[in-house]
Amino acid sequence: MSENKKKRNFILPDQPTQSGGHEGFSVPDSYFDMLETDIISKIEVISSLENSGARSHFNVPADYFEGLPMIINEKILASKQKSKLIDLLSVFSRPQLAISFASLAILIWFSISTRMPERLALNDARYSIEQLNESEYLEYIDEYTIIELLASQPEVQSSALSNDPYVQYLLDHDIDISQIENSL
Amino acid sequence: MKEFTDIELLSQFRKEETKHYAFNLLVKQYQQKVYWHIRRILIDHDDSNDVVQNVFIKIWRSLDNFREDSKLFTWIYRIATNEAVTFLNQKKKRFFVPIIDVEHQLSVSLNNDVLFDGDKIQLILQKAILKLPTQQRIVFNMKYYEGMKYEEISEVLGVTVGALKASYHHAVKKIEKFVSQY
Repeated sequence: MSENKKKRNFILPDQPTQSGGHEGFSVPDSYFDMLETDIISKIEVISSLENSGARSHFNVPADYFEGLPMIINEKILASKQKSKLIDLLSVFSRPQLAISFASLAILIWFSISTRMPERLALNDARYSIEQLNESEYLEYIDEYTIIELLASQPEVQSSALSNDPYVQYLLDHDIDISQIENSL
Repeated sequence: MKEFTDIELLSQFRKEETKHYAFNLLVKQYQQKVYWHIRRILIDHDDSNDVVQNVFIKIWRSLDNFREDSKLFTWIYRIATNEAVTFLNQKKKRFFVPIIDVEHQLSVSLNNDVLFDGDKIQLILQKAILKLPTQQRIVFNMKYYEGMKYEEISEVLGVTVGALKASYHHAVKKIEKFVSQY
């Protein structure tokens, strides 16, 4: 039991063991000699590039640098105006102000909508649609419309048909349905 | 090899005629410390080799602007740590793998790494260390393997000494628990 307990409770030594390389890690042979050479040669390449003025192989348009300050100033002014607008709009980012403006806008809309002129009221007599009685309605429509309407309706019992006002109209005016159908 | 002081190296570096000579001395003086520091973070030799070279190139470019508000060694270590951590983060993004999986991959790779010839306990210990979060792993390595003082580690990582002590203590407990399972 106590041996099992020993195995389980690993205690980190105060000092790391110095067996061989660094805690088990190793490097290829002559690595550090090569490392120094690699670093130095890279630095020499960087230095020679910087000294040879490699960047001067790039050209710019004529008078580019003369005009550059003016272009920059114009862009700064433009961005300042834009930021002023953003500052103005940012007022609405404050919750209290945004709520106040929203409430004001709602009140204004409400007052306008409740004071709408009477001519827009739906129960205005000038705009009311008179109810036509059925017989007058039938006077205003032509027989072709009646036939189309009948054709679109579902089949009904003959007794229902006889009570149908459109059918009755056709019968009363002695209109032959088949003639109309053929012409259509 | 004779070790040069910060002042000696910097004064030589700042003269055009001795700049390269001073830099060579700096590389000779610090390459192994920088390499092993990075290798403990990245585990893989090839990755460590790339990062080490990048670190010294960065040092070459920035040494003129070194403000001497810390020791040269601290400044170099800070660059090395940042470059190694950045490399790990880029590796994670490159393979769309969360960082913990990258470190799991590193742990698995240790089994077949020809440049790892530690015994079984050292292998298990490295796997235990790889279980730690990156920052805690770095703290542990710097304290345990590199023998740095908490104040020095604090300068490199920008973390308070108190936080470092707590981090190291927790790291040790986690490692002991992990290794005890084997």
